Amino acid sequence: MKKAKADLLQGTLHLLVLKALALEPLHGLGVSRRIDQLTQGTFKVRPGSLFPALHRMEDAGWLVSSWGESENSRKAKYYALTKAGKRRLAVETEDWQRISLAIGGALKAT
Amino acid sequence: MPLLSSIVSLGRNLFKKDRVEKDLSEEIQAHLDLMIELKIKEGLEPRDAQRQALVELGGIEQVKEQVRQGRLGRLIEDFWQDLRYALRTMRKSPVFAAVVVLSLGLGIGASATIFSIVDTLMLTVLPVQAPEQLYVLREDDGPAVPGYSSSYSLFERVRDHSQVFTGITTVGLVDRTDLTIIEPGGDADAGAVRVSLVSGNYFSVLSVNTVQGRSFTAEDDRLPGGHPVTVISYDFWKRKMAFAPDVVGRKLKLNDTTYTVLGVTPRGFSGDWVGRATDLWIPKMMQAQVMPEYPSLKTGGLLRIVARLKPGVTIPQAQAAVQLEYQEDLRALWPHPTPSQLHYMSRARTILTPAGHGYAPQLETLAQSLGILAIAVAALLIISCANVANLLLARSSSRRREMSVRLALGAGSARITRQLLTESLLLSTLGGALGILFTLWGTRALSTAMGAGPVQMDSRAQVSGWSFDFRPDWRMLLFTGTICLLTGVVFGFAPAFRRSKISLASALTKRGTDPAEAVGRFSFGKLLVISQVALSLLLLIGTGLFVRSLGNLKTNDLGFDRKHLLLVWTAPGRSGRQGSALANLIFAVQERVSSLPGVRAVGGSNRGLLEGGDTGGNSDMMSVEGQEPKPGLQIMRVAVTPHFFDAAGMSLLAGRDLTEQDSEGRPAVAIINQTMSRFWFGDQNPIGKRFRLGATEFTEIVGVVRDAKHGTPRDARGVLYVPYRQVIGMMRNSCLVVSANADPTTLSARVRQALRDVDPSLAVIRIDTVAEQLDDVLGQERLITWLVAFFGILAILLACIGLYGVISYTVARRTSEIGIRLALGATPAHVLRMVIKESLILVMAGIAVGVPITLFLTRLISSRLFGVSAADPLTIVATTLLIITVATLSAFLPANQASKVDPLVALRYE
Repeated sequence: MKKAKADLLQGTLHLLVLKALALEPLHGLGVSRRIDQLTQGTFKVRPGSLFPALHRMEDAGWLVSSWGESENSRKAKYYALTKAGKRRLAVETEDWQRISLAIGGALKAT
Repeated sequence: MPLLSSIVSLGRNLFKKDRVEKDLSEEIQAHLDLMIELKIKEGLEPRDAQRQALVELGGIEQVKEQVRQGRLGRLIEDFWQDLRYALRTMRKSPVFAAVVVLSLGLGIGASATIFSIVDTLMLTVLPVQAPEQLYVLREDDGPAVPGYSSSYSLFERVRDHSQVFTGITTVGLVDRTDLTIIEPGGDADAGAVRVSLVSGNYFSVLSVNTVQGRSFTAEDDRLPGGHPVTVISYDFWKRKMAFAPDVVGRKLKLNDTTYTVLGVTPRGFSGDWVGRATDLWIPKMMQAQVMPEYPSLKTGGLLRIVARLKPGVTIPQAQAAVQLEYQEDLRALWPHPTPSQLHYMSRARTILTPAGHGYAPQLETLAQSLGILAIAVAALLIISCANVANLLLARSSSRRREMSVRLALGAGSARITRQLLTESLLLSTLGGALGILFTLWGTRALSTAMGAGPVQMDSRAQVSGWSFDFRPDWRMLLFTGTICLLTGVVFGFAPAFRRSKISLASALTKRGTDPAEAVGRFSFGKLLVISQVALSLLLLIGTGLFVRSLGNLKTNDLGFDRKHLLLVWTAPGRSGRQGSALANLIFAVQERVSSLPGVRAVGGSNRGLLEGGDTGGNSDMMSVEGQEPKPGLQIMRVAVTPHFFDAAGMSLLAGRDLTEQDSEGRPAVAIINQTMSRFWFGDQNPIGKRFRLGATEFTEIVGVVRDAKHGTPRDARGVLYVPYRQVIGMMRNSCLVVSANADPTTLSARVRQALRDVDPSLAVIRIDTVAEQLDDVLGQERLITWLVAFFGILAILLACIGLYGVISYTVARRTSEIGIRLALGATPAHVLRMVIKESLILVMAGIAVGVPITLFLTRLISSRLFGVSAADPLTIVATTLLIITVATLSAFLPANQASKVDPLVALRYE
């Protein structure tokens, strides 16, 4: 499959991270793989964008982190959604849908 | 809760930095390990796996830095870092920091002090409702400044007939010395108090409530002498009654009348006179009890009329309405006007002046001084700021290499600008803090200095000196803060702006600069020095002119004896005596004092000598027999006793002295001074000529006396001296002039005792000498002179520091050039001359700019000068020479350094 190299918009990255963590807590690599999976490889999140985003979102109170063990018994930092993070996900999802609908409509118009 | 968790994160980022950093390292490392493990699982060799993982990660440190960049509190952390760095830099160059902080502190302190005064006098608004509706009625009778005092009859007329005001009230201030607070445990002498006699509606017109009890109503001001009640000020309640809870209903005794306290005004309201706080308010109908020397409500000049304009009425409408009543009032006063009275009536107007800022007549005399000081401090502030900019510029060039290294190591240019701004803001904040200290000290010193004033017999209320409460308030802090911020940002930005444009390579490889940049920066520094020199020239020439004026004022011929006089300021009218009883008291006092040993002669007058003030009427109020009314000279009438001229040492030039026989019922006579004689009669002999003032009978001129200064040393009024027995009403306040055989101060105690012997109730306001009186009269001029001098000296000091900075900077940059010159055979003396010549060019340019500016500005102060022209060549030349000398000295240090350059070292250093 051909990988599209789309740059992630700042807001989009937040939305994708929140979505990725909606099911279960994940560590950094887990988040980037989940996003890869969710977008069918359209978005590749580099560590240089992912980690600043995770830390910013933690500072904002949407995520909490804790040290845990990875699938192959290694130490890894896991991120989980907080209540505020879940609310944020709902709000951002709704916003995104409205915007994509509007832009989609705009592009279809002749 | 997101906000709470954000605060927790911020705290963690700022204060648990080590743990956060360790966490981050471990997290990234774990991530890398996981990636490597995955790659190995996919079948890569461990070495390849590690390499690929690292490539995908993009470098551990880089990722970490990116995380740090986005972290909460990053700006604060940077700021701390910058601040610590700035403090370290300051410690490294303490002299630089001290000079910058001190010059900013002085500049800010001086301007904030003057601002506080302007703020108190002009910007403060009375704490009353809708102060913008308040107006004061002023009588404008032509040439002089309109007076504020009005008559009670005008008040009654306007109150009863005019429809343009929602309320109209009167207030008059008087100082009393004999107040007693009646207390359960015994009476307490409250000492001096300031009383406002007000009409009953004063508080309701101003909309001022009370914090205790009630204020007056119209019912409290109906019957003359029938309302012994008072409202006291919050400050008086605090100062003299220690916040007594039972204050309402307490009794105060003043001049043998006992008043009941009705209420206390709110804190912050101390009457409508700025700088003269009222202690007690008493109904106007009690005037005869409060001021026995003026028992009649009809006595003019004791009150001001304050009115609240009806919404919708314009000022011209109100003025026209009041003017109508004013003309009626004058017609009632003079039913059969003389020509000069008609002339007066045709010209006299009533005008309305806004009163919402409070009554501040001192502003009119002070406005010019404040203007001069404002110019001086503005100049000083500019010089200070120029200095700071200059020093920052000079220093920034010495830090070029440091900055370039930091740029090369990856600091963004925005980051460096931010850091330079932090440094200059730190300096300006410290300067501002120092400035606030100077302001606190300065305002206190100024209010003390302005509080002193001469005894003024002219003001019937006898209030002199102002008690200003210059409290630094938020407006002052705002003012200072704004200046700090502006200087910090503007003068921090200039070098910072240049800095971020540095070309890395040239700064790191060579020590020199590219010529284009050098010219720009250099000329900016030069420009600053030129403007500094120009401004210090302005201040120093101003100082020179003021100092010379003050000297002239001090030594000017006063027209009377300076050395042997004791001036005894008394208020015989307060005993309630009138007419011949008053005259006899004054006569008895004089007889008693002149019998004292050591006394050569004694005289009395209603106006003292050097009592300050320069008010008077226009000469067209006086009609001289056989001449038309002639305006153009300020005149005043002075009541004197026989021997007054002898005692004061004023020589009688023609005619005879007044005697005790020139009494009531005898032909009216007068002695005039030289100025008056010249004005009316030129070279003719005035003896025997007759004149009249208003509708009185003709007065005959019997003598001419030398001019003497009754007001200030500038006094140039025409004076009519009339015998005291013919105008005894004027003698309610009088000054006894005692001429001693030797030092007059030794007589003071004996004179006081002698007065007590004659009448224990005779109020003695003050006893002093001519020298002390002169000091008081010149108090304000001296204050202005010393302030301008202080600012001038500061200015030249700062300018020298600026010059020194620029020259040292030039010398440092030209070390190699100087080395080449020396190597090619120039002598150290050549180099010295060359550097000094260059600094002199800057100084000369400053002088060339400064002299025209100074000549333009000193014209504005010419009315304040005395015996010296505003373009006095001596002052200008002397100041210019002084500046050149001082500037050469300050350029000598770096020039000398330059001449000692060792060519070998200089050339190798390159």
